[in-house]
Order: sequence, then structure tokens, then C-alpha cells
Amino acid sequence: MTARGRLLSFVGDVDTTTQQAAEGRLLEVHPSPWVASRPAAGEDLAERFRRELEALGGEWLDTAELGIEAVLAPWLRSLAEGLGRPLRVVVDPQLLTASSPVFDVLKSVAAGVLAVLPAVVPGTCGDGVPGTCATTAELAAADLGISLVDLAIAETGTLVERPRPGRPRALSLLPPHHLAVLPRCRLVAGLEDLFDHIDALEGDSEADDAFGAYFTWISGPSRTADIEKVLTVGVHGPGRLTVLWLDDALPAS
Amino acid sequence: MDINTRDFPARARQALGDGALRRALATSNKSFRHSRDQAVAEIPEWQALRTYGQQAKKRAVDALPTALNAFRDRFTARGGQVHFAEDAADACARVRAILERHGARRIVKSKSMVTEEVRLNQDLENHGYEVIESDLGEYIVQLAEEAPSHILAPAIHKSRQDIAELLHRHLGTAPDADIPTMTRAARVALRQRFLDADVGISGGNFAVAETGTLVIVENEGNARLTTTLPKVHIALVGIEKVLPRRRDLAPLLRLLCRSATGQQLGSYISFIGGPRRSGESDGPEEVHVILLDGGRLDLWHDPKGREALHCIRCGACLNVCPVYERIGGHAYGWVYPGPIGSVITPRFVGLGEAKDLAHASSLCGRCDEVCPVKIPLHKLLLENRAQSVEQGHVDAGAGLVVGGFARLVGSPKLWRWALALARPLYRLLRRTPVTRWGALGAWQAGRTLPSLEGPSFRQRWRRRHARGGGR
Amino acid sequence: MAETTAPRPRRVALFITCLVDFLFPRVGEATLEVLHHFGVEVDFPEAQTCCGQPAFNAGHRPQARTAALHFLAVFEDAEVVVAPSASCVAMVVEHYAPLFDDHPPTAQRFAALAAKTFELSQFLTEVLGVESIPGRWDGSVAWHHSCHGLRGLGIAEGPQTLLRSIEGLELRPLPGAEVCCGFGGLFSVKFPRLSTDMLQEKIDAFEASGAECLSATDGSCLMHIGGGLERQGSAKTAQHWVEILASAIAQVPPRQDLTRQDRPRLESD
Repeated sequence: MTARGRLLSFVGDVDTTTQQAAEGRLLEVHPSPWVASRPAAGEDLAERFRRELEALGGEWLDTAELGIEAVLAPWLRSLAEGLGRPLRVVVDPQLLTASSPVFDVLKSVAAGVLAVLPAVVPGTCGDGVPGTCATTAELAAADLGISLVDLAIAETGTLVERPRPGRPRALSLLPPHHLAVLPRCRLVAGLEDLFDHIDALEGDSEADDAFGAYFTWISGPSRTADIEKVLTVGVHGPGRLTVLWLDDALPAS
Repeated sequence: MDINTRDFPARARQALGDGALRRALATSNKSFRHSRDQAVAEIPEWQALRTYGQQAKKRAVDALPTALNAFRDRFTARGGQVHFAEDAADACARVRAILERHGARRIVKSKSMVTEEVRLNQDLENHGYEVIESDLGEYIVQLAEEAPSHILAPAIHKSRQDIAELLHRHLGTAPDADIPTMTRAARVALRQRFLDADVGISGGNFAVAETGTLVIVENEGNARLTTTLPKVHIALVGIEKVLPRRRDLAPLLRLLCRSATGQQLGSYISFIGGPRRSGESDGPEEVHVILLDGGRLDLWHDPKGREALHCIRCGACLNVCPVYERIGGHAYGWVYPGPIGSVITPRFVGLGEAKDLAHASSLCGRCDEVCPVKIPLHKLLLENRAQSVEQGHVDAGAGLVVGGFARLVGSPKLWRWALALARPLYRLLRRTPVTRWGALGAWQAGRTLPSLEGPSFRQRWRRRHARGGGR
Repeated sequence: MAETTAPRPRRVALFITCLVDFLFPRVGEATLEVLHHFGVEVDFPEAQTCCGQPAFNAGHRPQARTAALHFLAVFEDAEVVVAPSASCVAMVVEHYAPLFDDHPPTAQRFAALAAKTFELSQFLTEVLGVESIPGRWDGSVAWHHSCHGLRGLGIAEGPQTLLRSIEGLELRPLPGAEVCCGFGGLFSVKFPRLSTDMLQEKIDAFEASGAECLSATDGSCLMHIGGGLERQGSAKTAQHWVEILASAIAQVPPRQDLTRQDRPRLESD
């Protein structure tokens, strides 16, 4: 065995000036090749996103024509009917503000259809953030997790979520069904655009900390092909992923 | 994983005769290749993308001390912890030190080749910890007390019937359960393990120097669960996984996911920059990244081997390799199978320990063609062969033959005499009936040696000129 | 690679390769005949030996260097070097210069040698600009890509285009044409069963193709596949592509501007 610390001295024997100079070279910008799979200028991003999402086995709920109430309420009722009992739902606190159109729908269908975990009452969570703070146990018992998407990538049908106070990371992970609310203004074209937009997202005060502590990309439902390469959905994460498309309205935050 | 690379020829022979294994491999390789080829065909700029990937990895690996320093500085600035592990024992000890500090007993793991490399599961189990693999394929091979046989699809050597019987014994599913049923049963069994786990252990696909971000690509959601639910997350990552900048991720993720499974992106990609922040109700309170040397520094210091560190573990070279397709991953005798395995395994376990691996290739070069970061795999195999010879791992007979060859090849006169002498010997050899006599017998069992077409070309040329023919 | 504007070489040095010299001399003669047909004079430096590939592939670099230096001494002054084997040309083009990366002036000489060394189909199609072959050859051919030709030198369409141009010749698709036949030199000796298994896949694909003859740029693949066919008692054959070219060209009436003495005379005449 090598003497302890060989790797440490490999890394550590660099003085600050040398490190800064070398880092400068390492972090030089090298333009990456343009890739035609990125949406073209003028391409309908919503249409592209829908196509990619559906190709991955995700579902698309479009509110553009009928409005959110007419789309979401019957959808929730049909899920509850399918279960034969009230639907256990955990909701992103960002969607539980008085001005949120999603909140209005949840209130209107609540009785007998929804069992919101915890109750849909404005409360406080963590550092005094309004909303509800579901425990892991509640998330594990839920039928549906509803979250507001932070960003989405049309090219790949990908949803981007960052941790937010009061919204558990596992909200989009533990329940077997994930409903992601996606307003048009949060849709970007390609992967490269995402890395530009993520800097502008709220929540990171440190100027040089563009990526923050955590974020996750979700492209379609959970899947595996570990047995004989046969595609099977819903192995550990949600087996169903539905995107609620809000063509114009961004729920007030 | 135990090192069984010395037994490669015997293991390969055995695998070659295993009909069920052969069928499983043929199906899976074909499926992998088909998905990859389709996904690559969608990107007309694929070759430019490969060049970018190659250069990005080269920038990071060439500046490895800088890149690792930068990663550590950024990651620790957010409260994460970075450790440097020299070898397997060091890595395992560091993991155990963290577990002990937290009084942890139950550990849930998501897929990680580095943890296989350092034999973490055995180490932890020997110390009384309960370790459960959560990737479906890894879970299956763990239940079967086997090792993974493919970088991406650990249980690809098993048929659905094998797996149904296995899950019947362990989870009580029907002995002929279908794949969705088995998948659901595994989900239910593993869900409670995630909720109960004290510590989650993962690998990592990329470590971004610029931002101090560990990137994990997966499809099942088990890596998200592993890195979200337990209070402590430990990632074991090879030091070569660094990328310079966050913008390198777009091309590299395209290269990795399309090459690996033919997807545009894995279903879930997690970008982990440290522990949970205030106001968050879940996510680990402590995140550790253990960066492993394990032979990589030696490879780094060898200018003729360093490119092997560019590998992003997509598995594409396995899926096109005619040798891998015939023998599967277990024959290779260690963690990394296929062409990349034959390149890096001898460097990690010793060239003498694994000298046959570099020869387990017809040098057909299909691996070079698909490698998303353009690693010249067949040249690295040749380099391993040469270094193996330099270190003296040569059969006495081969040494004599090669010594004789060197004498002849530099002397046209001796060369001509040798060829003339070889003719009657060759005729004799051809007339020898097929025997079980060593390699020649096995060779001749599959093919005849061609008959000599009269005089050699040299003799014919001379006669032509004697007659004044030719021009 | 030669520029299209470069003067057309009139004289080439033939690098015959061990396998052709010893086992397949008719491939060498066919090479002469084809080159002569296109007006190229051929030298055969008799001091040539082996390119060193067997030693190189086995990891014996010092011995491979000996072979490379001898090759350089024999061929360095040639205008152009041509060989009917992609594998041996790939050795010269791909591996010689890096073998001497500890001595840049020598490496440079090898790089210059590499730039003027061509596999026969490369020379015909890329340097001479040959687009079709006269004469006729009746039969169906399946094309097998030699690994060193396809992936080492990038030879894909050239030889097939020339074969396709021959009257009476039907080129049939070979499924998995780009897959290795399992020879690999030392590989087939170290792992004969693995190698045989790969060979079988190739033979099965060839049998299914319906073609009568399998052809390729390399005697090594053809020896391997042909040996497998013979062992299995198949009526089908494996034949070097240049032999097919020469047979077709042999059907063409002799050119008037050549005296009888100028015409290439072959041992088999």
C-alpha cells in the first residue's frame, strides 16, 4: 500500500497562486457544439415539451382552452373514483396561497374527494414560511404529490425542481403519482439554456453559487429495464407523471 | 469484489459453453446497441459532440489536482465534506468512521461501481452493518449472492425465470411472476428499507469543479431516495469523475445518456452541492464525498495510460464487444468487464494479476468507434500488452519465438532462408490430422490451414524478371 | 493522403506482406496485374521482410521497432508504397511513428512514410481516382469489412464500388459485415474457442446472404473465414478482392499500345 496521504499531497501540494492560475485555465470557456436536437428558433416549445413528455410515458393536462378549474377538478375526481376513496394529496406550499388558482380548485373539490396531507390550511413551516410541511411518513402514504415546477426543458421533456422551504424534496418522489404544475414562463428551450436560466432563479443569494445545494431533473416516470431489458415503469419513483400546463397564468407567489 | 482475473481463460471457456448466458447476452447486447444507435442517429453533430466530450474530460483530468481542489473548495463551502481515499481499505475505513459517528446500522445503497471496487458491502457486513442494494438489478444480484455483470445492467446475465424463482424465495411472489409484478414487489420491499435507513451510499457520474456539484444519473429513483431520505449521504467517487465547468454538463449528459441506454436523459438526474439548507424538511443533514485513488494516480502518471481516466462508464464498449457478448461480465473476474475493463482492471489490480485481459480482444476497434469520449481503447489494450511484457509477464516459449523473429526480421537473407525452411514444415503441419494438441488443435478444429499455392511471391517475382517480364 | 491535384504516381513500391508472399502469392500477382492495367510501374524491393505487427500486437515493442526500422530502410525512398492488406498498412500508418515517440526525428520519418503508404483500394480509388473496373466476373459476392480496413484506415465504400462496377458481378449485402471475423492474429491462438465462435457468426451470415463468394481486403480474414468454410465442407469460397479485379481485367482484350513483352506475365499463365 502506498503511504497514507499520497492522494492528499497530490491535491494539496498546490499553492493558492498556482491553483488560481491553473483554475483560470481549467475554467476557460470552450463553446460546446450546437446540437440540432435543441428546439429551433420559433419552434413551439409547449408542443415540443408535450411531445417529449408523452414519448417518455408522461401525461399532459392542458388548461389552455377550458381553464384550470374545468380540467383539474374532474381529473382529481376521477382519480378518487378510481381508488374508491378520497385521494390523499400532498401539495407544494407555493400552490397553497390565497391567489393560487390551483388552491381554489383544491378547495372546491376537497370534501369527499381529497384528503390533503396535512390539511389545506395556511400554516407555517420551517423558517416561518407559509404552507404545510409534510413529513416523510405522510409523503409515503400519499397517492399524489402536486408541485410547482421551477423550470422545464422543452428539448427533453424535463422538469427541474429545486428544494424550497416548506416543499420536501421527496414530494415529487415518494407518492406513486406526481402532478407537476408548469406555467409557460418557466419553460426553456434546451439543456444549455437551462444552465443559463438557473442562475436567475430566486433562492440563491450567493452570487457565485449558481447551482446551490441541490436540484433535480425529472424526465418521465421512474423506469427500469434491469430484467431482460424490458422497460417497466414505477420501480422506485412515481410510476405516473402528469404535467398540468398553465398557458398564461403563473400562480402568484 | 474478489479479484479472479487470473482465471480469465477458464472462466471465459466456461461462459462460452453456457447456453442460457449466451442467449441472455445476445438479447441484451442487441437491445442496448439498437437503442444507442437510434439515439445517436438523432444527433447529426454526434462526432463534434464526442470531440467536445473528449476535450472536456482531458482538460479536467490533465488538471486533476486543480480540478479536485476546486471541487473540494466549492463543495465544502456549502457545508459538504470531501475525503480523499488512497485505496479500498482506506475508503471502507472512512465510510465506517462516518457510520460510527452517527451510530448508524442500516445502510441503503444506490448503484456504484466504486463501492464494488473497494468491496464496501463485504467490509460493512463484516463489521455488522446491514447493507441493502436498491437498484433493481443490484438488488437481484445481491439476493442471488452474485456480482454485477454489466456496468449498467447488473443482472443482465439472468433470465426472467431465474429472477422470478429468486424473488419467489425471498419475497414470496409467484414462482412464475411477470416482470411488472416482480418490479412492484421489489418496490414494496425496498420502500421500507429506504424509510428505515440511517445512511444512504451512492456513487456519482460527474463532479463539477466550477460549482462543487456531484451529478448522479439514474432511471429508477432509487438514487434520489438514497440521497434524500437518510440523514447522511455518502458518495464514493473515483477521482477521475471531474468535469471543468457546469456548461460541460449539457454535452456530457447527452453523450452519456445516449451512449448508455439510448435515452435523451436518464429519468432522474440529481445535482448535489451539499447538505440540506435551512427551511428544508428533508434531504441529508450531512453529505460526504469520498474521492478514491485506488490505482488511478498511477494511471494518471503514465502518459500512455491516462486517457483511460476519461471513461464516463456508459457501457457502450461492452455492448459492441464481440468478446463480452460471448462471455459476459463475470468471466473478466473483477468489477469492470468488456474493453474498458480489460484496459483499467490490469492497471488497478496489477498487470501480472490480469495479464490475459489485454489479450481478450481481436483488436477489432468497434469499442473505439462508440466511445462517447473517444478513448482509443484498442491502443490502450496494446499498451497494456506492452507494459505487461516489459514487466516480464511473458511465457518462455513466446520470448524465444519473438527473439528469433527480431533476428530474422532485420535481415533479408535470414528472412528468405527462414521462409524457405518454413514451407516443408508448414506442409507437414497441414497434413497433421486435427488433434487436441494445444492451441493449434483448437485452432484447426474450427478451420483448416490453407494449402500453399505453389512457389512464394518472391520466387515468382524472380522468375518473371529472369524471363524479362514485369515492368 | 494524396491530394487530387498531386501528380499521378507512375511507380510504386509493392509491400507484399508475409501472408501474401507465403500463402497467397496469386494475390500478389493479381495486384501486379491490376496496377499494370492502370499504367502503374511496380517495384518489388526484395529486401522487405515483415512489418512487425505480430510482435507489436503481442506487446513486444523492441522487436516491433526492429521490424519498423528495417521497413523504413527498405521503403523510405519509394515514391509510394502499396500493399494488398489493410492490416499491415494500418501497422505502418497507425503504429510506426508512435513507436518512436522517444525520438522525434525518427518518428517524423515514419510519419512521412505513413503519408505515402496505401492499401491497394485506397491507392486505386483515392490516389489514381479509379471509378470502375473493365471486364467481367460472373458470380455473387458478399463484402466483409476487415476491422483494420474499416476502422483503422476508414476503407468502406472504395473496394465495394469497384467490385460493383464489374459486369456480371452481383454484390450482396452481408449482415454484420462490419463485425470482426474473430481472427485477430494472436487472439485466435490464445482464445481459439472464442475466435471460432465469432467465426461461426460470420459464416452463418455469409451462408444466409446467398452469395457464392466472400471477399475482403485482407488475406488474414480470408484465411480465417476460408479455413472455416473448408472445415465445414462448404462449397462457398473466400477470395481476395484483388483476385476478382484481376480476373475481370483478364477478360479485357490486350491494349494495342503495349508490346507483348510489356504485358504482365503471370506464373499461372
